[in-house]
Amino acid sequence: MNNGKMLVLNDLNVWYTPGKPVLEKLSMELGTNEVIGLIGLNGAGKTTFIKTLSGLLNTFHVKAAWWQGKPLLFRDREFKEERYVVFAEDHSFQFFTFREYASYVAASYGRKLSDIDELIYGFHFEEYTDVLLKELSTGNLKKAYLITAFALKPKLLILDEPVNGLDFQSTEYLYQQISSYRQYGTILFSSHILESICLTSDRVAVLEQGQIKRCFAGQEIKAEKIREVLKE
Amino acid sequence: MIIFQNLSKQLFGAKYERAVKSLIACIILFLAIHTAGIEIAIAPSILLLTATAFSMGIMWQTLNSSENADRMTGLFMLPFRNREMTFSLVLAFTSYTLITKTFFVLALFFAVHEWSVLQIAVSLLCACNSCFSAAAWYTMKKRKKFLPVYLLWGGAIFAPIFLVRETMIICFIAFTSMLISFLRLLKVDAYVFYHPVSAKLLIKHTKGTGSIFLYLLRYLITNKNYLLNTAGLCVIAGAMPFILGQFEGVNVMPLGFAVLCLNTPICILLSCDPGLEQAVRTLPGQAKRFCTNYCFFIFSINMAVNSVYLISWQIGKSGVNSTEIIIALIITLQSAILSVLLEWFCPVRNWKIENDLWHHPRKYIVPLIMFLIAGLIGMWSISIWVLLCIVIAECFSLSLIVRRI
Repeated sequence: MNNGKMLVLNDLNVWYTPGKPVLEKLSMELGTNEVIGLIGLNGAGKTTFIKTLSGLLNTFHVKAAWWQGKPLLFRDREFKEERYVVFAEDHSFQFFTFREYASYVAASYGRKLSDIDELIYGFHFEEYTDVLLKELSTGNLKKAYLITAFALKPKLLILDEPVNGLDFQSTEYLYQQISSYRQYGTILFSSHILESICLTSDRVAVLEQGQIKRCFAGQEIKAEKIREVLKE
Repeated sequence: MIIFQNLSKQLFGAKYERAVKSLIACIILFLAIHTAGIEIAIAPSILLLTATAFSMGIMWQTLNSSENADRMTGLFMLPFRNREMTFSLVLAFTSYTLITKTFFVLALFFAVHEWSVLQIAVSLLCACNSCFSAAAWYTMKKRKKFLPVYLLWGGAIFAPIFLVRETMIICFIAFTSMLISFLRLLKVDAYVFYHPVSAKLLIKHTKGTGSIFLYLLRYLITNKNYLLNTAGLCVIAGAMPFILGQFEGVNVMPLGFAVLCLNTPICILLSCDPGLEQAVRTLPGQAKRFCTNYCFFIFSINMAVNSVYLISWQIGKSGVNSTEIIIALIITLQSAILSVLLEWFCPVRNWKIENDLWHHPRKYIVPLIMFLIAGLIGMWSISIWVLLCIVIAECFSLSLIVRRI
């Protein structure tokens, strides 16, 4: 049924207002240990898609959804324990420090965080680990959630606009982390920045009018080429 | 005018639909109570006092709301004329306060008592004056000698309502106060209403372990409104035995526990914080990890307030026995469980400013249930043991359910 794929979605429809679907008959397959970039114009439905996968929306219908060969419900605890989401806009747990947040998330997932000191160093976050999240700037807040995500190492890591707000050093470090994540699992990430997707992805899915209209893989993933196709 | 329209649309919706809904709700409330024939004798001074004090408090809260910074950033970025900005802000917030909050209370007053047209007009005038005065006071809050001004000005507004009770004098004072507010607002810098989050010295917390109880405690301590509400309830808890103790022959003590469950701000923490709600819905196992701790947090805070009530009862009245402590535990635990269940299954969403949350009717569902329970216990003391069994069964079944979510 799922041909060894990690996640299979067939004909996903999502709407906020009945009769006005944001995503319509969207189908997607995610393999194991790959990086998939999701691009699309503003309003194409990238964040809606990610929120649906996260179980935050309930106004959707999906013909078939499979996770590791089993029927998938987005709000199932088993699925939640296998995936972590970094949202584009996140202001959660503002009265925790980063270390408290990370330890709370680790306890929620029932696992230990690995390589966290290395990640803190890589993202230049040493000064902010014991500061309340509400006191952090946009970029540092994003780093807090990204470090937690990479230290948690879930099978599926979903990143919505992960580059937004990061300085150039941290952006490059993020690219390294995304590229080397294949050994732990799969990353699905959305971005407006073509270069970030081209540098890191095995496959690029283009979201247009609520559907995955085009896919690029291997040698096809070049910023100029994708840009040309998008202009058509 | 453009600034006023822009702000009004942000507060009332693109087509002012919220204003229309509020007005319709006021009319329905008025007609429902009036048709039911409920009549209560109310002195005119109470009507004027309520219109003034309630509107003043709401206007102050609205101006102080932390959401205003986000709402106004775009407005203040554009070039504007200072006076136009000031008066647009004050008028928009005044309209918001009157239409969505004050009119509800006034509709209630108008429904239960026959008022003359003059009295209705004066109450509206008092409400408008209190909004303008609150705005004028708000512009002075960072001045060193603001307290005497508040006391003098406030005294001038409230004294005629309490002491003189002459309509003409009250109207004269209201008009004068509005004129002074107008003159004050002519001179102020509009930026006084804009309070963005300023950069602060970063304080390090090195001993935390990711405990939700600690998290919620920080939330409570940081938020002045929540703290004030809790402190206010402690004061009420201390005084209540002396008020309730006057009723002879009826067990009114449980009513006190129900009143002290009115610490509603701490019962809407998920509704208040959409970011936190998003995270709690996204992370696994939060029904157990977050909700259980949240329930324990509400229980602890309410039980602390109840302890003041019990101590006060012990000192001032006949003493407290173990059954009464059990009643306190039942009501407090039941209130905490219901509050968390409501937050989990139907949080308040789509609110515009914090004020909407603080006065949302959903907040009062749990206290209402607690009043019914307290009444039940007051009438049939045997129901204590039935309720105790229900609460224990609830805790047991919920602890099993949350492990699976």
